[in-house]
Amino acid sequence: MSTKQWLAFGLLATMYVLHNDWWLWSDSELIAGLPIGLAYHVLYMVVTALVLAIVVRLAWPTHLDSQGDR
Amino acid sequence: MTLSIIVVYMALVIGIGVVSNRLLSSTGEDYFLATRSIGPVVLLMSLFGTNMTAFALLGSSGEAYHVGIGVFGLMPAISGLVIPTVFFVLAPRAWAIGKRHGYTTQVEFFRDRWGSDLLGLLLFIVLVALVIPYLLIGVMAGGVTLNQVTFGQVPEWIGGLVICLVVMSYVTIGGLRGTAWVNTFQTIVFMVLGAVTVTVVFSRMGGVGTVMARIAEEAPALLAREGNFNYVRWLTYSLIPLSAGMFPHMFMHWLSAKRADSFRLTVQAYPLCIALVWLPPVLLGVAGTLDFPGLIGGQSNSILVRMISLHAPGVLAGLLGAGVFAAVMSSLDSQVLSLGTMFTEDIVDHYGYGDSMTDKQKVASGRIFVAVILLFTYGLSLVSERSIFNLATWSFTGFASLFPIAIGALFWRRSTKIGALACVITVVVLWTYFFTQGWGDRAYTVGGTGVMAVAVILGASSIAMIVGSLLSSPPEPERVERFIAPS
Repeated sequence: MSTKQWLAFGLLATMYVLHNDWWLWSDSELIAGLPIGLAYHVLYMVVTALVLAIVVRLAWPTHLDSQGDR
Repeated sequence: MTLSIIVVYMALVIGIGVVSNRLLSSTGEDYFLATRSIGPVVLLMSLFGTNMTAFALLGSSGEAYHVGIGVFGLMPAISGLVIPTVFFVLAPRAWAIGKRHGYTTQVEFFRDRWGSDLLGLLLFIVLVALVIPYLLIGVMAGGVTLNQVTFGQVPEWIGGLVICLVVMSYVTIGGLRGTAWVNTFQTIVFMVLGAVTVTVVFSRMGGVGTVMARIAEEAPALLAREGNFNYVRWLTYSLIPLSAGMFPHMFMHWLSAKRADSFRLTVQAYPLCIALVWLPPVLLGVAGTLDFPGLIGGQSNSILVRMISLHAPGVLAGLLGAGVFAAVMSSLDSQVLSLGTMFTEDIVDHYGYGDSMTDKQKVASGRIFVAVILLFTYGLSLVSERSIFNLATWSFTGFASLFPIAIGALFWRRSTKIGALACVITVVVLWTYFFTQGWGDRAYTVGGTGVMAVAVILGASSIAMIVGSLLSSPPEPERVERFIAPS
């Protein structure tokens, strides 16, 4: 794997770890009207979209279009 | 009024199927794969619409009613990471191989990868069996929705029947192109209506903040995960979205893409689409505990529709009904089409039963097969009282446990048909065992440890794939190189 692919893999693995927000497990405090655990995961999904955009730029398998045409 | 809106919506959906039929060429590849011509936007919408079903709308709100806001982190948040990653890793590669060798179905792909008819037949049976509970939740949702938005005037059995008939109609008319177009339309419908619905309902309840503050006083446990979720269950549940890599209907949509690059938009936009669709039902499910306390088990499937009917009856209830139907039908159609295609290609054609048939007769045989499966599913919907969330979880568990097949096919040159067969047989045996063990228990985990059955089955099926492959003769290099380029 190339450095860019390792970086993409690392970003995805980091996002997987961040999904497990054990520090908010028993917290029911409201933030901007939403329970903090829910607000965290809404924000998490926005960040996930940004990370996936980076991953696509770093490691997209560009050779496949020509393979499909062979 | 409510019923009229739903009827108009159904007519519109069939109309899109008819229009796409006019653009349909007469080839089988166009009917089954839209001549591999689907661009980025329609691909995103059709993949997303296919993936989001009654599970996302009624299942999530019903589950949030019982266990609170943690449902959002448990399923959509991790799906927003895992499903696009699965697409990123598998979809463009499967597309390139499918286009190069002219594959139409998932069974054909894997059968050819390892040169095994037995594997193809076994996979066909297993995939059809696992799709049935997935179909079932859609048919059940149709019944529940129509019943609730009409305040019980339309019995549940009619809603399920209507869903089955409308889906059969436009899939038969429009093939995959029609299905992709209808899905795009329906995905936009349920995304927009979800946002409108939650805005209207919460504004009539005094705003999200006010509702959550009331819940904090009356049922604070629903706003945290402590006591509602086991942490081990939470961790192992993250394996469930791997199922997206083995759904036959998703695989078929992958093959319909115009280019490998068409998947870029899907990978990037998927988390936002999921958040947009899942957030309203989870919020409404939790809020529903204030207005409809005391619902038990599968009764909570209808909480979303009950909330709309209470706070926004009339036009909005009708639109919401249409939105739920949109979500349900945009999955059912692809599932139905993929089942029919697999039957036609992998049974009728592959085993030579179709040698004496015309092309029309072959396609008709696929439709008869689908009609029988739908009839069976519809019959099950009349007697099933299960939670939609639970039924879907068991279906997804089976598909996710087959994931090593997809990885082995595309990335592991040493994988063999013995390994793939061992993997599938392991899934069949263990899934059946755990399903019978957990049938009566909504929150079943293995031995009460918190470990979801998917973790055990996936672990075992991966080991079976590896050990079975290493203990058998290496595959022929020519066959491998058709799927995995030499490094």
